[in-house]
Amino acid sequence: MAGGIPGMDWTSLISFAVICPALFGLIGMIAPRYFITQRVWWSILAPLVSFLIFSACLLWRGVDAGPLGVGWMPSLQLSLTFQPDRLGLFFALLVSGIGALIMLYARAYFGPDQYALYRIYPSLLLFTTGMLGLVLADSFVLMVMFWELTSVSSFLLIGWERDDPAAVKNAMQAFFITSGGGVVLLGGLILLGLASGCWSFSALAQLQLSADWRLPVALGMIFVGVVAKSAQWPLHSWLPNAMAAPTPVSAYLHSATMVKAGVYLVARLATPLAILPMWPVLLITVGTITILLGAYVALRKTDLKLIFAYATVSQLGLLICMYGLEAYRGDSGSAVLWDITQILNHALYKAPLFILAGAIAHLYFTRDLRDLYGFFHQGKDERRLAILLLLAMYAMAAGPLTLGFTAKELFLTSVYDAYKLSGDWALLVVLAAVACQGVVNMVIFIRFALTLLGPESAGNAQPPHDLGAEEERIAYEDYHAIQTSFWASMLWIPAAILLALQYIGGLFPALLNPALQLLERHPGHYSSLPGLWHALTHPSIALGISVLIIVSSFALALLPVRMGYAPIWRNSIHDIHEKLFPAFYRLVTHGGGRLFSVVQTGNVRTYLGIICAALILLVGWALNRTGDSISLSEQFNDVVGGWRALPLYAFGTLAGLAALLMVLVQVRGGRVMVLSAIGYTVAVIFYLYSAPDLALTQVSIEIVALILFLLALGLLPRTSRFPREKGSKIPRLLLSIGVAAVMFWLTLSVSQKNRPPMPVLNAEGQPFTHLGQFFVRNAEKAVDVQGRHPGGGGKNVVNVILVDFRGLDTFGEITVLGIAALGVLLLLHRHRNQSVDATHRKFVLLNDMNPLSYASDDADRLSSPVSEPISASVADQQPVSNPENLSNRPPRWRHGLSLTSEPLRIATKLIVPLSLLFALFIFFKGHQLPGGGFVAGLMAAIALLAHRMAHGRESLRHMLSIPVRWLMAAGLSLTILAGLGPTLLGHPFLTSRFGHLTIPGSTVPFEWTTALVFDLGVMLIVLGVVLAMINALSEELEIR
Amino acid sequence: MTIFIATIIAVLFGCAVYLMLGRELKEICMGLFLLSHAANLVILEAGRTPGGVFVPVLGEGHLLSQLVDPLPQALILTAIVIGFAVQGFLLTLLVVTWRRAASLNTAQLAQPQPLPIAPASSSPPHVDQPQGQSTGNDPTTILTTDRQEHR
Repeated sequence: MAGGIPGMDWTSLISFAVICPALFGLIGMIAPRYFITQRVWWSILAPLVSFLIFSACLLWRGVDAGPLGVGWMPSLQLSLTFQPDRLGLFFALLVSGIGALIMLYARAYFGPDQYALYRIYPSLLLFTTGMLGLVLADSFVLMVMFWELTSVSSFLLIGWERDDPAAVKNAMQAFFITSGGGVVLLGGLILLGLASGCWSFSALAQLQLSADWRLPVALGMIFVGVVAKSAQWPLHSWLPNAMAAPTPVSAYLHSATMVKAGVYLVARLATPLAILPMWPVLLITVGTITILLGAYVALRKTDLKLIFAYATVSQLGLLICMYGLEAYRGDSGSAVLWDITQILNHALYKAPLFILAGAIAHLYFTRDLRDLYGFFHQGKDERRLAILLLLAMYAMAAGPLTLGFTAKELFLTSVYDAYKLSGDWALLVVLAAVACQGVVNMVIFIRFALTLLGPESAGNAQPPHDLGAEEERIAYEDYHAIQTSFWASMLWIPAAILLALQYIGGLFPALLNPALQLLERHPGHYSSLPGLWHALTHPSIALGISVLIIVSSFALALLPVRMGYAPIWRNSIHDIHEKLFPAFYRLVTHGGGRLFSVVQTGNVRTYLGIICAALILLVGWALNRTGDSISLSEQFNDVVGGWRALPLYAFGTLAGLAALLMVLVQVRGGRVMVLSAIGYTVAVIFYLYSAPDLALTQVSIEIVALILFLLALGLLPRTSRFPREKGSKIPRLLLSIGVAAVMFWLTLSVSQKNRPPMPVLNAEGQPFTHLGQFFVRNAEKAVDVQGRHPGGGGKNVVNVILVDFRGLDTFGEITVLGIAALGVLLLLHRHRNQSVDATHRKFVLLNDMNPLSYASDDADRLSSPVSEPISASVADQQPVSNPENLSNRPPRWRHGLSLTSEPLRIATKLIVPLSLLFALFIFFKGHQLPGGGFVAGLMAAIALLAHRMAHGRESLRHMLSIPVRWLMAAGLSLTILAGLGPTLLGHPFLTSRFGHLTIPGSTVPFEWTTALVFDLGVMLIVLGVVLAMINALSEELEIR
Repeated sequence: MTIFIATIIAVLFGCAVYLMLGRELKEICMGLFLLSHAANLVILEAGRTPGGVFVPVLGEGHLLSQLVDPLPQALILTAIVIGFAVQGFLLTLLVVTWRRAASLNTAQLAQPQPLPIAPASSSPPHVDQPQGQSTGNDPTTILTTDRQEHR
């Protein structure tokens, strides 16, 4: 670290300087809107502070001290590092310096409009931070983040007129192009990082890149980002459209700073990437095309901002082109000369041009050049603006005595040097293109001079065109009436400051030299900026070209008029590239819309079909790729697995046949029965697989599921009212067979797989062959080899896994159960309330379309008009013609679950207590034997449902004495308690303990475990969920 | 044995998918429930370990390596219970769908229903008019009046 002030930490200082504008912007938003003046000064302070810190860094830290910062997410190759080297600091100073001036100008431009100022300053300051971060970031990814931040803030600022559709459209265009380019750039930088192995610019600069196929691809992608951001052909059309933004924004973002981001990136990468032959070719080709295109269109435009915008495009092409010359190297380094000065020169005339265009629009309500004939003669303000504008135009035209002239001379020399070094004739084309640009710029200058200084009568100067509507003009006049002279002068003073620097550079380069020499990267054989008379004292080909430019431009501009022809700028043209983006946009939106209508049919069949097809393709592809050959002969030998497997074959065949039957059976109730049968068969298969817990659960679930199904079917129409299959069944069949085949293959290949050993070692130091072994070994033990306490103290490993090892999973699962049950309650509750409401009788109407509902009987429950049997069955295939028929039907489902069967009532008196007792047994024994909370909950639910069946709807309420949903709440609370208890003692969530307790008078120790509390919660939830769901559906049938 | 159970699983999956691609929501639900059986069986079969024969309960005198892998069983157990909850929710949704839309046909449910542009205070639907007539019982008219009232 060179020098340095004691106690000053450059890392935090530079980071602060980057963040400070956005921070100030945010703080400024807190202030009330009417604090106008305070807000302005506060906002100017931010870039000034940054500027001072960067200056201090330049002076005291130096430019070669290397990057600084901290690691952020090293695994993502993302670090919060900044690199204040020559290039970075130059751009940072430029951005913050011009930023401060633009803040002043914005106040003058918007006037005391508190709402506009309230919005503009945070946006501009956000952009400032984005741009500062972009030019200083060392890490690739960090740079892209700031890159996109500038795109976002540019979007916000271009779309300033939120109500103007054109402005919004232009903002979207700029955003799509620049941020889309940013995404491609990110890809390119990642590829570059992968190919080179380094993820920061500072590391890349020190690396000798070796040839790699990824490098050209990375390069191409990075270049796309550059082209998009720096408005190069063919993606330049967003920049002229971005002129929809207020002029301060155009002056700041779209001429001086943001559009240079691409140039900056090229400058950063030019040296490391110059070894690739395609790099200079790309840069020079695209740059040259852009130079010519921008220059030509600029000549044929009449709107001031558009002229300047296309001139900017042209100049950006020149800057990109300049870094292409980096590949041509001679004795004194690369052919590029004083590149920093080139960039500075552009900022020093283009920002004033935009500032002045805004000022003229303020005075004249027009930006059209044709309205400005004789502008110079209109008054004092006009005269001042005209002089400044012409001075800036003169610098743009690179007339002698300006920094622009020096810069152009240096550039021409660079190109010529490169030509001499390589002998490449293409560079002569570049030379010609630059000369053309020079001619065009000079012609534009002459045109401006003729217009502004010429007689008024030459055009239709006063009154100006109606660029603004009438009210807009009144607003402007108001603005001028209340504008104080100080702020009014700020309309042009920022431009004057920048122009002063421009002319100092041209007239007294010695004054700028110290600063530029500190920053300049490619001084070449010029140790200092060429002086005023340098061109004359050292005549070269560049001087010749300059003379040629001036002579030919005067000839081109003046001769046709003299000879009676129209001037070459006679009419304005449109840039055909403007059509590119709308066409692309239309293609995307229309194509997307078409695709949407194909894919998003709203029909669940389509989605299921797509999912199935994707399943077949993806799983099939993955299986094919793993290349597991399944030896079928081996499999067939395996088929004859001995007589022990016979039951499995029997029940498996049963399940398969039942599934086929389910497809064939069209009767509704029949299907449910078959599904239930499959469930029981599967339960037996579980049992044959030595999974008694599963078998128990499956059997209990099948009981309640059957009840649930029948209840739901009672609420649904009997058969479909609509014609059966219209289309072909073949796709449906093909998809089913495809899925079946894929699953067959998957099951075979997964079952055959030799599993990789687990990373966990068992007590003997051997790796576990599968995870289950770990659980089996540790289910009962209290302490494992490492001295931890994984044991659950239970013999039934499945239950120990559920309530102990994977307790958190179970916790989540029972929460899902509760949510599903609440969903059922809410859906039905909401519906019932509506149907009870007499004003919503149509719901009853809909309910009554259900053939299985009979509203007439429960008339006392509902208000009388509702309960009338209003409509006949719609769902029935043979609609009943009059309401009387309805009441004649046997009320099969009227009572829902309540059956009026005396034997059942008697039987339940015995069955219910026994079942509940059995449930308790299963619950308490579950830790040691098959069973547990899930099964116990289901058993208890079945018992209670049986009771409800026999004794009616109210019986459940009498028996439970609390609402069913409280069971769920209690269960969930218990599980949470069981989880949180250990955390209070400093253990992880859901840690369980167990021990033994010998009850006095008993010889067998009783084992207690805290997991039992958790299991109790599980049981209560399962009980609550089953009861709530079935009860709710049953009441639907009973109430009406 | 694997090839047999894989065949059964394939049959279950095929039937389930065939049902799920049906035209009616009830059919789709049935298919989904059948699918969950098949999926459970896949997990169970995939979790089968070479040596595992006995029920994963300790203290029965078997070698630890002779026990069946308990982990797939624990996974399936919660899957079964969650499957039930999903069944309940799905069937309730079906009931509510039927009441609101008077249709369980997927193609018909997918059609955007034309919303009548009528003032919200329009007269209540004439519920007695279409009584008993098969043609007058068009559920869509009821639906539109329903929506109209709700706007």
